[in-house]
Amino acid sequence: MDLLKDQYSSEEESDEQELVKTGSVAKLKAVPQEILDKYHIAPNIDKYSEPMNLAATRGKWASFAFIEMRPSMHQRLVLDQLIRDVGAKLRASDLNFEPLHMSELGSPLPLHVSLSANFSFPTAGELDTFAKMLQIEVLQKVPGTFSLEFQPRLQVYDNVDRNAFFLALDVAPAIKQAEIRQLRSAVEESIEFCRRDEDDIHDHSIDASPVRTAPYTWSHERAHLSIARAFNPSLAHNFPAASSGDAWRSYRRRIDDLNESLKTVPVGKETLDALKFQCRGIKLTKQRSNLWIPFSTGEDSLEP
Amino acid sequence: MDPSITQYVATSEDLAYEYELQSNIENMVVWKRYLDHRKSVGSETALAWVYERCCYQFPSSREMWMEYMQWRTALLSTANAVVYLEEFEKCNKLFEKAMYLCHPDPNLWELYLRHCIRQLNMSLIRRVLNQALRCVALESHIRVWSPVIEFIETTLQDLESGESEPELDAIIEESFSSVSQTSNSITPDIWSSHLLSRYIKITDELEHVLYLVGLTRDYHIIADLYCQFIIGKMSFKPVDQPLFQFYDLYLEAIENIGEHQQYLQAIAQCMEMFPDQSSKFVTKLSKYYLRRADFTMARSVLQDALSSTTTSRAFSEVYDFLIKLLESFVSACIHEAQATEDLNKQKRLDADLSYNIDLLEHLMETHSMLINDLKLRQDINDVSTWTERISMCSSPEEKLEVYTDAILKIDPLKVSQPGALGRLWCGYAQLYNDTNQIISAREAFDRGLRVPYKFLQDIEIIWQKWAEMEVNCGRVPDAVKLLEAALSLPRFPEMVLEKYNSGKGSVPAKAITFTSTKLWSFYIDLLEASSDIAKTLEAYEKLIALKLATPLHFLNYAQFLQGQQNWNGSFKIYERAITIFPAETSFELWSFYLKDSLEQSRPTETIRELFEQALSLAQNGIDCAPFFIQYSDFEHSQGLDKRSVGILTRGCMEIKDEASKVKLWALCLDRCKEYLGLESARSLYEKCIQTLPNSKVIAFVLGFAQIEESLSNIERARAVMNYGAHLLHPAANVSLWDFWSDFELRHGDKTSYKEMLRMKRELNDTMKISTEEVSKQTGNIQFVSSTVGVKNDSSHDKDFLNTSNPEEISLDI
Repeated sequence: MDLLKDQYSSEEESDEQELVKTGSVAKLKAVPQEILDKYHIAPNIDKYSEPMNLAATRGKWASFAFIEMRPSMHQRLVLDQLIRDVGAKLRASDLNFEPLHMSELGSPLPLHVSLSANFSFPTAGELDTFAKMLQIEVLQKVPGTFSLEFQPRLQVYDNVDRNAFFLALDVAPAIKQAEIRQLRSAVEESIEFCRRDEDDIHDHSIDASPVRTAPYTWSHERAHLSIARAFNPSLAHNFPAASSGDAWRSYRRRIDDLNESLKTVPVGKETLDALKFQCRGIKLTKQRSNLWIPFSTGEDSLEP
Repeated sequence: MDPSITQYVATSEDLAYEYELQSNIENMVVWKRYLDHRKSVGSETALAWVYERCCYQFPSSREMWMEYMQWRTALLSTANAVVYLEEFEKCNKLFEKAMYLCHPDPNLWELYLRHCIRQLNMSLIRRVLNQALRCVALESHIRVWSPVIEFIETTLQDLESGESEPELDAIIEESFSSVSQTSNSITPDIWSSHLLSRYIKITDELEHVLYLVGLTRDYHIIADLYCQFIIGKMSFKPVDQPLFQFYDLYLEAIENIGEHQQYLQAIAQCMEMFPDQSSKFVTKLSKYYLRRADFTMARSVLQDALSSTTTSRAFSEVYDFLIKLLESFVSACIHEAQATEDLNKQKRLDADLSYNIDLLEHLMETHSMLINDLKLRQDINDVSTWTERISMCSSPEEKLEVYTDAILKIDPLKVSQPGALGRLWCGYAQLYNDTNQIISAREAFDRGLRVPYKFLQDIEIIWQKWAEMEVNCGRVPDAVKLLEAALSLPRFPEMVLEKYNSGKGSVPAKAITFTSTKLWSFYIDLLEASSDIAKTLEAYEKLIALKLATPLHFLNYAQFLQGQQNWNGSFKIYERAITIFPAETSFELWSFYLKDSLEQSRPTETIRELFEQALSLAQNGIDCAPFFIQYSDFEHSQGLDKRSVGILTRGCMEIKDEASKVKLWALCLDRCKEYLGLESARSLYEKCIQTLPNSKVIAFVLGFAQIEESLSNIERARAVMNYGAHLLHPAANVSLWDFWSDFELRHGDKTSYKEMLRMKRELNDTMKISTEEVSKQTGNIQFVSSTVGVKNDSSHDKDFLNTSNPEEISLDI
């Protein structure tokens, strides 16, 4: 509770971005989105600990399209409660879900709804072209801002390395079929436009299959917002990616069991209402920064 | 008979010549002799009469005409062309005759033209020039032109030196009155421009002619010719005048022609071509708008320039001009408002006045901010300029804006000041911290850590400040967690460090955060405060393994272990430290180690062994006299007095520092006398006196003598003093001689006293005196060695400074 009290001090309870006078202390605007986007990804220092492997780094201009949600104070509280409820429910399992909206060092983090798997281009120029193309596609395909809502159930997903489980809220079906599908299509078509040949672009799907799937297997049906992660190295150890058969079936069964258990954790309307947000555009990672691609609104778009 | 003959032929000589001409009228020699005679006589009219007869006799003789016309023009060289108009016209007529007869001669034409120019008769000049150009051969045209061009040049340059730029006040006043005064007051020199535009077709001196054209103020011709030869022509490269000046003249021309669009295009082209003169063009454009009575544009041009200039000179020129413009405008507005009775006009003027006064005040108040803008335009990545900008803001909201702007605009890879960008981020986070927005402060710190800094100092300070903030919030475990994240080791630390050092800024400093001693110290402090022993020990060991531990870290580590009552562990740390650091640093470590070992009453042999190791520092030139004393005290405490004195004696021999040596000898001798008796001290005194330099030894000589006196060995005492007396000049050895004098009074007789005085006198005469010591005595002037050496010879400087007084003079008295 102390932690909560400290993280959500009374001075920060308001979601107002403008200056508000509270007593003698004037609250300042939160850290601007532009700054968060400029320094979205920290320098990768792990590569300096490895012997030089030029082949591995050549032709890797990675990117990823997503809808970003920057949880407000109230939303963070709601998410914390939800994660605690899940933790209580899954106490029997050896999983300990940690919230994704707060870093290990105590700094708030944005959440995201993926619109693609990770993909990479061989040159920076192609990535630039992709970004421009995506901007045009989004302006053409997406009519305007929309309210992103979630289904009243939690779901567990795993990652590509099979060493962590993600607790996620699935996007509401209507939105999946409409806006998410449109956005996904915009991303796909932009990639197609920029792709010079089949091998140029690498799509690292995060699909839950034992081996990496072919490009573009990411589906709008899977659109979700990961809210917590349970990291368990034993998962990777027990279930190497190349394995198959019984181990794979057992692994899938475990996920299914978890999802079954989660059906008993209610996600109330109040919670869903609290977590829904206005989506005014999408983002795209470019090197260490994010590019903001606003929707057409007929007026100047503002970042969320 | 011709009446002129009677008038001019007066003498028999004249008559003789006339008779000769009658017979040899075709003979030029006779004519020349006659002319020479006439010249010698001095009558100008008579000479002219003869010249003219001669010229008519030989009408096609260019030489004769030339001679005659030169003589005629020379006669008028000092005459006023208006007062003596008749004479000049006569001369003109003669020229006309001459030119009729000798029309192809360029010399005569040139002479005629110069004569015309003397008269300043412009139409005549032009007419004669035209005639000349028609008559002379093409290759002589330049020669014919040259007097005219010289004349134009003189005229235009006189005109140029007399002109001045109208004052800004006058231009503004004029813009109010909407009646142009300045432009009407200048009359173009059409005559010159017309001739120059013809001359330019044949001349090689294009630059000079274009320059002259520019001075004529015939703006249409200027614009035409400049467009034809200069504007946009890369081939035009002037030598005598700067290209900028031609463009300047061109701008003036098109301004006066009234081609607005052409003027704007030309000035844009000028700014592009002469970026270093941009401020001049900006003020020119502003004045242009003023002359067009468009004050708003005049001001706007300056304001735009003020926010785009990139040099200090251009900024100050534009700024000063804008201020002056506003002041003049305000003043003119007030004047106009007072003068007018039209209410509507007064209202309009009031509004203008109010706006411009506000703007003027704003410009004055924000001067430093505008300078800061300029600095940022010069280098957007200069963090100190951003910091200066932040300090100009008063409210946190304004500061936040500037911080945001700075963070978004600075390219971390182009920042050259180590630690500056990190401090900027910390300042940003601190703003949130000051308003108790801890979450936002954490978010700011977190983003700050994602910046690819070039310098370790940047990322180091962010981690430190964030951890400090957590500590201040009472969240020490979180601060520890932060520092653990900061100091987490890569798989191959040395490889990372090597890549960073050889990467020349390409490897982000984040990769080597684990090398920050500042963060390690902070981390260890927090661990010690939180009493996490295992983690503290692990941290110290990691620090040592990374070769980052300083002597202070080792001392702290040892003290930490002592705090845990782990004395043996702490002694091991001391020993590890001693082996790592050089002798200079080891001294301090040894002093702590020995002190702690003595306090803990470790076994005697161990203590002895430690002292022996510590004393080996003396061989490296370290002044470890305190260790000898401590060791001596220790042995004394063990009841080993002789060994105690022996250690001090050993110290006296091993220590190299003179002052320490003297002190140690004094202590050694005192201890010897105290512990071992006076007789035992004899051998030490001898050793001491032989070891120390003469200047320091006298006190010991006296001590030795006193011992001998105490032991009633008067002769030995006298011999000691005799020895001591020979070490220094008597003037510098007063204490010894005083003591000896008293000694002889106590123990000697008249003979021994006399002997003493004889010796003193003898030594006074034979020994060299140290002027250094004498000069130090009261009332004497002392030489002081210069601390500034001769620059060229550094080795010489060192020797020079090492001597006690390099200015010392040896006097052989």
